[in-house]
Amino acid sequence: MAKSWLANLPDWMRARFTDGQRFMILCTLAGVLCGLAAVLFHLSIHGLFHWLFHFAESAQERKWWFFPLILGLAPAIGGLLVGIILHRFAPNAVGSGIPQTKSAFYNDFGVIRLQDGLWRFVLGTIYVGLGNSLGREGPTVHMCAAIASWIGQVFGLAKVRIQALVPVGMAAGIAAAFNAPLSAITFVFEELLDDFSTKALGGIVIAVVIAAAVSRVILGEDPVLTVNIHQDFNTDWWMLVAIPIGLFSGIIGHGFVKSLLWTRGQVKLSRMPVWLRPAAGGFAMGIIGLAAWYYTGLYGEPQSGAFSIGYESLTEAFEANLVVVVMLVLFLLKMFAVIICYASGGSGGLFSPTLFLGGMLGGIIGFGLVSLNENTGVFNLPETNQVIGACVLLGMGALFASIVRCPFTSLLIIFEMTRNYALILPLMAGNMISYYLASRLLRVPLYNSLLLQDGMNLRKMPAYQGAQDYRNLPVSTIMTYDAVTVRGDRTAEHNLDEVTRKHHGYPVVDEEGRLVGVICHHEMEEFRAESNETPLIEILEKRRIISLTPDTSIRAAAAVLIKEDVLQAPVVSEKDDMKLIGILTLHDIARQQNTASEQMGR
Amino acid sequence: MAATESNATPEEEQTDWRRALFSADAWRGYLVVFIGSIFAGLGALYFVGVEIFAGRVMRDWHNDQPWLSFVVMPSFLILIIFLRDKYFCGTDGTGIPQTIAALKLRESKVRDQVLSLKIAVGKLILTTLGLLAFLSIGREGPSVQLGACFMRCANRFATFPAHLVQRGLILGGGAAGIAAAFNAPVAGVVFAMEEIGRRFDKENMGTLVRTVLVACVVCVAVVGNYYFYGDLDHGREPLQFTTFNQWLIVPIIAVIGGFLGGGFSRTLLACIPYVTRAIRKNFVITAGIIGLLCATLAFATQGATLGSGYGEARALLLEGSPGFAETLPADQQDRLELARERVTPFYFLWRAIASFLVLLTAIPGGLFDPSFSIGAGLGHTLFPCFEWSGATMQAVILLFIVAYFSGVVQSPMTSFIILLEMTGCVMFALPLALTAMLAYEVSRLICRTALYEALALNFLRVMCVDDCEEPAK
Repeated sequence: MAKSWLANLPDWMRARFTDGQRFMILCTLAGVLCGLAAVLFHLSIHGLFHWLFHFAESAQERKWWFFPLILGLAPAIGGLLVGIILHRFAPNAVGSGIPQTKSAFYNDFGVIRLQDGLWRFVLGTIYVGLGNSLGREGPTVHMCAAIASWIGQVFGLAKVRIQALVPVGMAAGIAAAFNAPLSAITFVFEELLDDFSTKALGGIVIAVVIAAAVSRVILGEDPVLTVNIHQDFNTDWWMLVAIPIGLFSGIIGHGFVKSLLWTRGQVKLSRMPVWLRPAAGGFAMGIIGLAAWYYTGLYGEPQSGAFSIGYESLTEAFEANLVVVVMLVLFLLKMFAVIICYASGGSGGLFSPTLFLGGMLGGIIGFGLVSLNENTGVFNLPETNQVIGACVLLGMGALFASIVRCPFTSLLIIFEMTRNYALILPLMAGNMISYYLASRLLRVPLYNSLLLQDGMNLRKMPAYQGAQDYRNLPVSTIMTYDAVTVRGDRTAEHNLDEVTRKHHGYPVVDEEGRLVGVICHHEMEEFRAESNETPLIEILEKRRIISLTPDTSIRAAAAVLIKEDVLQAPVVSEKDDMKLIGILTLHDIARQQNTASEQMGR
Repeated sequence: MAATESNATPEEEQTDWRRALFSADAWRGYLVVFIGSIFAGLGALYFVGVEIFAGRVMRDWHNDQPWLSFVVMPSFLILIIFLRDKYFCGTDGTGIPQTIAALKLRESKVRDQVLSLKIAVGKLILTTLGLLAFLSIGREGPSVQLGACFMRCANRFATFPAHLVQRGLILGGGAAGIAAAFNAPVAGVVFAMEEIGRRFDKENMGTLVRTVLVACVVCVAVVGNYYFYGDLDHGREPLQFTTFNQWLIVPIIAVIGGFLGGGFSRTLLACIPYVTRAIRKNFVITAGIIGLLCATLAFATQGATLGSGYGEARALLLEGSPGFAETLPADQQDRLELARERVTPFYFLWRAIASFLVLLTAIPGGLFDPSFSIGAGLGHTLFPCFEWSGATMQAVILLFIVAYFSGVVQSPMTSFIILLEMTGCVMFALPLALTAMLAYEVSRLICRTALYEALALNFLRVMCVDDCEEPAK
């Protein structure tokens, strides 16, 4: 924990507040700082990109090819800078920031270094500001979580309190970045905490309100995206429109996640040095962005939407100023650009690209609807720009629901970003269809898959549960998923050489990964001492396996451990008791016990 | 859960989504949820209809014959309590504590008793009687329990493993009840998480939102898309706080509202055991006395405490939005005018007493509408104290509603989201959120356990002790 002058304050300055009150005050402080940081981040990205754009335009007056040269190379330069800094100084600032925040929250008791947050700021500004096609929300979240966690560390709070400050910072960041306080709250609950408790709510709401107020004071009251859609909508009719949008978004969202993960895997395998990858990605990005710029230029005003965040093009789409080809081109090229940028290891988030893609997709479908109407005349549509605007809105929500997989946040965030309540029911319908489809097509949500790809695992703790009821939780909330296993077809000695992290006991699996038993470390050492050469599987044949299922309550599991007199038990699938999911050890239960008793949050 | 899923091989993943999307079982499951939620929506819709009917016809009768309430109220109360104890044991109270209790019960057999079709029918009949008697009850509690009952019973026809889905279904039904009752889908979902489930479970989110969606669509299809109190921002600058002084009244209102709301809950919880005992002893006399008290109150206030209080609250709120009020049909405007005339400076007190008396008897009926009305009355009465800040009366009333309501039920998120959805003033979200949160904190100092949770615990205790549910033996 950081030692500082604050830790040496005279007693009278700290004695006034109880622990809970101090936590609330720190939440307020975190709200202010996070709000400021998020707004500053927004302004600096926006400013840098606009400067770049105007610089390129003024250079164009001298020689026409200056413009493509500057815009084409800027992302590569940004990528190069970011790649070098990431490699040398701040490996934690890669990617979206939400996975990093999650892993810090679950694995490191919410301790995030302020440095990481600062680097996030710098790298995000350089990378996204120079035109790479990623969003600013993920980095904002990480940055603000780092600030909140740092506040907790400086003021010498207990570990649990520092951990409780992470969601506070995260929510404040989202609230300020999107000017969307409600969805900030639900996003934290849906993405990070996985459980809802009014105890955690207090600090989060206060920080969110303050951060949103800060952002409104500086940036003004306007919503992020302005939409002009009439309030009097024929809801039942729009429910039908939501169905194709939901279906398309579900499938395309799935495709997006899959191809993102695949590309990222390929890049990881490639032999290119790590620091050069973002630059290569940036180079490709420049070409794609220019292609989009010139191609859309053929159909009217050229769109810079493929570069950077691209909300300008989205606003145009809302007004129905874009032709369908332009939307199609922007959609496809932006998708490639985002995948390349993220996979090549840049620093930026996936929120706004998702919204952008969804908006374009919705626009395309809306256009299809209008032209269908013109040809057949079956529907009785309102004006064209109304239809397309509403479809853009629905598409944004639906794609967000299918990629980020927060069904409730996806509703609120669209509602708050556009301040348009009239379409809430069709929005719900579209979001639920695409969410359902996507969650059935791919079980693991995006951020968790990204973490898994990096070999990180969340040590979930039911952090905000009260003292009485934690024992009723299922084992799956506290068990260790990445259990160290040993192979049953080998001898004890062979296995001991293979084991890198020493544990008390190991689940034993056969060649196909199926559970055959449990063996203790000391047993294997005894076998080695007597140079027993039989494979473990034969030794274990006679033993009964004491296993648990993920749905067993912690209380029942503890009872089993006591009754059977073992220190750990493998957790197996309910359907198939040979399929190993993880292991439950006394350590897991002890860790849980301590979190529960330390009166978390307020 | 990440690693669990990562263990699944690609083939398993594929069969999984094929099964989920194409198998007959899965579709039967969807159908069941669909039908359950349609019924949940219809149930809520029915109550809306009854209330509208009562608000028109009964109001006119009572205006013509003020003595009517002296006959109707005691007799209906006695009848309701008689029916409740004789035939529909388990329908007592607002219905929300019962739903919470149902989630807490471990054995599904007892759960069947709390959320059965019989209970649903009882709830329907008894709440209808209560609304017709023009007692000060809301309809959201019964809607919640109805929704939960229907969803729970729909599960019988599907082949889901009960323990996996029941929580989601009950939550979904409850959410649909709130959402359809007030045309507030988001608030319904939040309410299910915050109040009924007391925890955020992401697995059930899908079922929850789907149920709410269908129920809301049913309602919208019948009565059209509307804001419960009216679109306050219609044709004018959106309501928002701009000056520091205006923000300054937020904590003051939160403290007052939270204090009064918490006090209401606490007094209610303290008094309920006595009344329950008295009802056990002799329900005719107890219910008769309470009914007469309600009637006297209604008579003394010229009918201000009759009904749920929706009309009064709406009249007070719409006073600040003449732009919207003009768009209403003429007869509604007249009714608003009449309702506005009924509001006296002590309206909030009379309404609070009326609501209190009815809640004591634990007849089926909710407290949302009366509480909103109390909050609106408070805001109206105390507005002169806040005039210095430059906030409009409407803003003060809204803040008082949210503060008082959040103080009574102690679910801050629900209270401000539901108000946003009922009034459509999205720019006013921040003051509302802050007020709700602060009022909740204040209320917790006064009343330790949230009202619904305490009632649910009471209910659980009763369920375990006596077996009134076995009349056959």
